[in-house]
Amino acid sequence: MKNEDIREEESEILTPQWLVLGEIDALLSFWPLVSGDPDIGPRQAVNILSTWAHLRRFPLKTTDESLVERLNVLVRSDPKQLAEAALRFAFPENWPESAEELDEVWDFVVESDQIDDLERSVREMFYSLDRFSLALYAVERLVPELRANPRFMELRHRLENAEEYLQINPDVFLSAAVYASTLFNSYKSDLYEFDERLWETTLKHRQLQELLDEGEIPSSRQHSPADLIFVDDTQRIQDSLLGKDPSEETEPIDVVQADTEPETKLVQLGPSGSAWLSFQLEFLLVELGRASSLRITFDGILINSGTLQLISRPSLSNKQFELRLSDGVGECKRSLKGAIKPFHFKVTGNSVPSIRVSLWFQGQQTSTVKTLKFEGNEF
Amino acid sequence: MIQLRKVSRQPNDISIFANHEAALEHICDHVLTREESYFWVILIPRYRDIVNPTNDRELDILASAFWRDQEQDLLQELYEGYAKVIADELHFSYHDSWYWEQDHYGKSRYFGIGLHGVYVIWSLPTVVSAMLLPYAAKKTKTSFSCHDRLTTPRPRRPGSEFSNEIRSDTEENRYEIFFAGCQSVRREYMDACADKKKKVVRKCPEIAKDKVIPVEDWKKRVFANRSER
Repeated sequence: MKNEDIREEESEILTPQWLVLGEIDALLSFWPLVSGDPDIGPRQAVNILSTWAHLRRFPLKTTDESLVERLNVLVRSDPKQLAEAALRFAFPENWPESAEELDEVWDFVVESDQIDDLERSVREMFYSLDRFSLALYAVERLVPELRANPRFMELRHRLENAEEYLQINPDVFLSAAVYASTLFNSYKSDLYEFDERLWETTLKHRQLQELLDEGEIPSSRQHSPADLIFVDDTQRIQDSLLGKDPSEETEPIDVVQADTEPETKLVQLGPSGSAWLSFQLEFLLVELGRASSLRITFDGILINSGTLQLISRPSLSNKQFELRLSDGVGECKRSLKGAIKPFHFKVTGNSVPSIRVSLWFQGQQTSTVKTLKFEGNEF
Repeated sequence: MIQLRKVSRQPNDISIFANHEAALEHICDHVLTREESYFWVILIPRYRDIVNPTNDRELDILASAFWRDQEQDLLQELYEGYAKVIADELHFSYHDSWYWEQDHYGKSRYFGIGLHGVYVIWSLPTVVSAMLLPYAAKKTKTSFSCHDRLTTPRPRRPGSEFSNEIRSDTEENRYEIFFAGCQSVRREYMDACADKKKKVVRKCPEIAKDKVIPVEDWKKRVFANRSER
């Protein structure tokens, strides 16, 4: 690529710094008109404070000093007015529940436009959380006495819940990972030393970046129908969805390796009459979060009151999944996103001679990924 | 049936939604669902005469009637207001080059915004979606079929953090919509460019380099545009 081409390419990219700096003139022009407006004022106060705080994440030399100084003047002129106005704008109490619900919608979308729509919603949720976290940080830093304010404490409580949810369920926000990672890469490398509290607000960015790195999947769009990766006849289903002629050549794709022979594992019964069963699914979960699902079937056994705990990230806290039981078959239908995942199951109840893990697509089983036989214990 | 409007463009006109059902879905999901409804009432002149944008029961009754082919005059009226805003945004997007293009499974897909702050997604020859992105309600677990719409005409989960007061059509309220829309669309553009899988084939130097228009400049441009049109 020639130098001119590179420069032209760069001039067409919106940098993270300019994403923030480019709003300052608009914010400064609008605030005097709406600072006393009960509807608009609080929202704009959040915008101003979050922008001010966001700029502190970037290395100084990469920001436009005159713009930053103008914002500083406004913020320093009456920080209490801004902080009190910002605290009047509520962060949704049910943010974690909304995120959870949104994640469950993946099982119901098939068309690419619906997928795009859902991904936008995920990014908006991430952005909203980050904006409020930054605004709260600014309030804390600029007007420390407001930390005892009930509104401040309520907002902090809501934000802590939301941040914790994201920490436990980063895969829910995979669609925001490219955005978060792009921002994160432009922040101060010594942010922790510069301001520990501000650094804490970027942990979610780092976590999403790690999620991208783990999967080496550059985009949330890994889930788009064009990238389906399954075994057996799934490619045929994909082709028919895309309107392709099956005889046409398709690009080479990675293939999920299906087990032909059941793997046998010994399990130890715990004192409470239950046992942990764990295994790792060694395949690339590239499309499992969309129109497909992973089903874990307990073959031919009766689970009267099964409790299934699925821990997608052992270092994080447990997630409970409801087991739907019918005719002695337990099924955990759950969308999964990400790369290689370890699964740990705790089964309480009757014996579990084997577990079959299979891929389903639009209500039809497409392949069996893994079959595990458990021996050595009676439950 | 909704009489669909078109925006004149070369080489093809752009139809504001592909068909009656697509238009009705977007009216129900965006224009008639909180939090967006709080703001569409500012942008669509006769909205408040048709339905209260803050009252879920009223919104449900009206949306349900639309899906049952009732109240078609009111539907057409709402559509006309929505389509007028979309047409304005397409005009602004093209005029100021505030749009980018992505390869969407082998076809061009365009993403843009105008002075109203509405995020418009279109292909040639139809508008695919138009929304106030920062306020858009989230999808819920439905199959989104036409059959479901008869029982759940507005399936999206409405936002709950707003008051029940209907906001008036002031320049400040309109600028707030514009500003919030710009924030979201600039982020979407940055994300699209960073994400190679999104295949941005025409970038947008204007979005990349321009500042968000300050309020006084925005007023002048809106006024100039009204005179021009």
